[in-house]
Amino acid sequence: MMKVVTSPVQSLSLLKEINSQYYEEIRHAQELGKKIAFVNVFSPAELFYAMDIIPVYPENHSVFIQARKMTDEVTRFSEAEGYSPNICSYALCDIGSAYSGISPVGGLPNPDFLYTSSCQCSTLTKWFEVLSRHYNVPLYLLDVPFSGSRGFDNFALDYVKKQMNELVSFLEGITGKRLDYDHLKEILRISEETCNHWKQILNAAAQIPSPLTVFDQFIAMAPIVSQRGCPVALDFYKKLKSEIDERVRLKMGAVPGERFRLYWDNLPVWRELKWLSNLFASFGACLTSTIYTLPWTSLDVNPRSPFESWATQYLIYFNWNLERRVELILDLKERFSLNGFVYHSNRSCKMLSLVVHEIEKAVTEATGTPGIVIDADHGDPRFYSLDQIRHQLEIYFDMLSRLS
Amino acid sequence: MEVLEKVQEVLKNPFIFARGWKSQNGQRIIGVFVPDAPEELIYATGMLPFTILDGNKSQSPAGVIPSFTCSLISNTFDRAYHRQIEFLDGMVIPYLCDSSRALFHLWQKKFPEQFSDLIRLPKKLGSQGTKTFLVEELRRFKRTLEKTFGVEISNEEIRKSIDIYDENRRHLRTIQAVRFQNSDFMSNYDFFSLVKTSMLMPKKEHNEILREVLARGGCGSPNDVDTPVKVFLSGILVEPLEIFRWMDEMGMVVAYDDLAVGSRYFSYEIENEGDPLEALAESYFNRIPNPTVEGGKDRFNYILDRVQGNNLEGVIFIQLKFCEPLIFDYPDLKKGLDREGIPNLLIETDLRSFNVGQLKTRLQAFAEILGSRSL
Repeated sequence: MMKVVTSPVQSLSLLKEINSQYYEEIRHAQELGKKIAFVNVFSPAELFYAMDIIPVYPENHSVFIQARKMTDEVTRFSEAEGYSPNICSYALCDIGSAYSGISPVGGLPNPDFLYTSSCQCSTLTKWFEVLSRHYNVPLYLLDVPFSGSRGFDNFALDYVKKQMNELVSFLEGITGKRLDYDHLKEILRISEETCNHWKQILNAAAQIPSPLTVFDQFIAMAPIVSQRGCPVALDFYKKLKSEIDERVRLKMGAVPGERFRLYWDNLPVWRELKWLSNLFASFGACLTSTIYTLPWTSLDVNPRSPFESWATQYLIYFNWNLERRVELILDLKERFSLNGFVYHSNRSCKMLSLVVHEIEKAVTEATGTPGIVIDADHGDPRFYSLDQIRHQLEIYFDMLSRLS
Repeated sequence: MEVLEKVQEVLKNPFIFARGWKSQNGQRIIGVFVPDAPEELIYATGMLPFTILDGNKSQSPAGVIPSFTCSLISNTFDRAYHRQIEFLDGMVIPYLCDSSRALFHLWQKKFPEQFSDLIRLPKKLGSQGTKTFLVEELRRFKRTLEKTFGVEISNEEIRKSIDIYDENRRHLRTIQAVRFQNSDFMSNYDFFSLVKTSMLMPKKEHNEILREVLARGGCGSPNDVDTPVKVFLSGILVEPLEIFRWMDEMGMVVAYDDLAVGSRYFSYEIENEGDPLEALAESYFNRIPNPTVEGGKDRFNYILDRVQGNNLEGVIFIQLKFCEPLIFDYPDLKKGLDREGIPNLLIETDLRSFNVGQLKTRLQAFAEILGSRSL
């Protein structure tokens, strides 16, 4: 592959310290009287922080395992326990890490309780049930009924709101403290500002050339997931945003000689971020937008009615049905001047991947621009071939070149 | 036995049966994705709820759904895609797992002219809001049926439908209990053929078959194994049904199970008083613990209780390849059984390809282990 000289986003180098600090803190949290909760990514982080509960994200931990190429090292253990590699590789890695203690971040403390929600996928519920038995701690499940593509039901909203109230009682029981609403409001304010910065950072990719790629977004997202509502996350995104603004001002593209502006569907292939980033750059292709980093642009919660906000988000925003995903992509195409679409058929994520071929067809029909579906996995290298991906992309870019 | 000939005829080609029923009765047929749909509401309209249970392996994939998908999902979709279930007037898919939800979205996209509905079954039973939500969801579904098909479903009709379904469930439970005491009453194969056809035929007609089976004192078992070993079968479904025939030959009796195409379908009775939708909703709280509803420990306790309480010899887990809910539960279930000294076996099936030889050998070996233990 041709080596492309890119100009990396400098602020991203701050993450090493932020991440290691975060994992260091959670290891000592219980000594300081705080509780540790393992939670899913789309969860009310602000509520946890407001109650002196530090949210820890098994999904993020698995990302570190996979990005550091440690998948096979830990999945040996989960497979020895009887877990088939036909499940999500995040879960397979996390369970393997729980059993072996192997961790790229120095290990996780035992949780005091678990929280997950079915608003993301139903895999998480099953995975967290395993963790609940493994650590012998309670699991709170927020059951979010999907409405498919039909409209919104008030009774479903009532159901989720009811469970949000039950969650507060559950947390008060665990911590022995009442929720301090003023404290929550303060955290929500920081969170809102952080999400706003994230939104502006992502929107900057609409500039031509784009100052950042989807790969930068993937790398940058850890704090907004785990430390949303904490000053450290806000500081980081402020710095990142000002660097991006500067790049926009100087018309400094993330991919020199940007020819193609592409959409990426589904999760990243964490282990291959660098390889893929170079490969796309070698074709003059900048991935500018993805469904995967978007949610955090809309996670701001109304401080006057936070529980209603959360319930609505989970119920409506994350109700990612086929039709809505197509609409979303068509909207991104307009806003980000996209001229190509890459769909990751991700063996690990049944929720996002089963409809990928249909989405590709629908978008191609609507835009006249063909897309490409690549078969991979977000974290298990046994299930994809780099040669095949490279070959598919060569053909795809050859086709796009002839179209343009 | 004559009455079972009808059952076998339906099983031989369920789609031919469905087409025949439709042209004879002039009524609509609503496809149901297994399991847990509130069939009683569909039946109350006079339409036939017909479960798409695909046990046939030979078909070309439609190439819409990736190969890493559970074969029950992809086969159901492919049947429709290849116009093999063109007699359906609609499709009802319960939200069980991510794949069943995706199946619904694909259905909407590919067959927009056909009625389809996603029934949102709750994933947890412990919230104070669960019951209210489920009642409202059933009400929504009822209204949708009424609007789509221009019918009105009275409470009286729902109650009648529930009664007919309850009778069916009761008969199946009776046969199961009799088989437990007297395995000569009926083979595994015949019993699960009855369960499966119950999901394909109109319940009234099926009730007549069950009544006759009971009146005749069973239909015998083809094998004369002196001391059959009794096992618990755990999973979603066993396809093809042929597997039950092997178990018959091997002297294994499936005494109890938690299969969706099994006890989970008939284990409960509905308290048919008051608002029928409330009664229907309430029944979801009294069913066999299942892998798509939170509460993994309940599944283990249920299996352990059944096995120890009835002196069963072992447990067979039958897993559909790529079925996440089952895969996540299995290791802890196995460890728990191992701790209790209960022999257990895992077999994996894939409706797209079926390795007869290997499966048979493993079942045989397990039967022999259990046989030698019980001597």
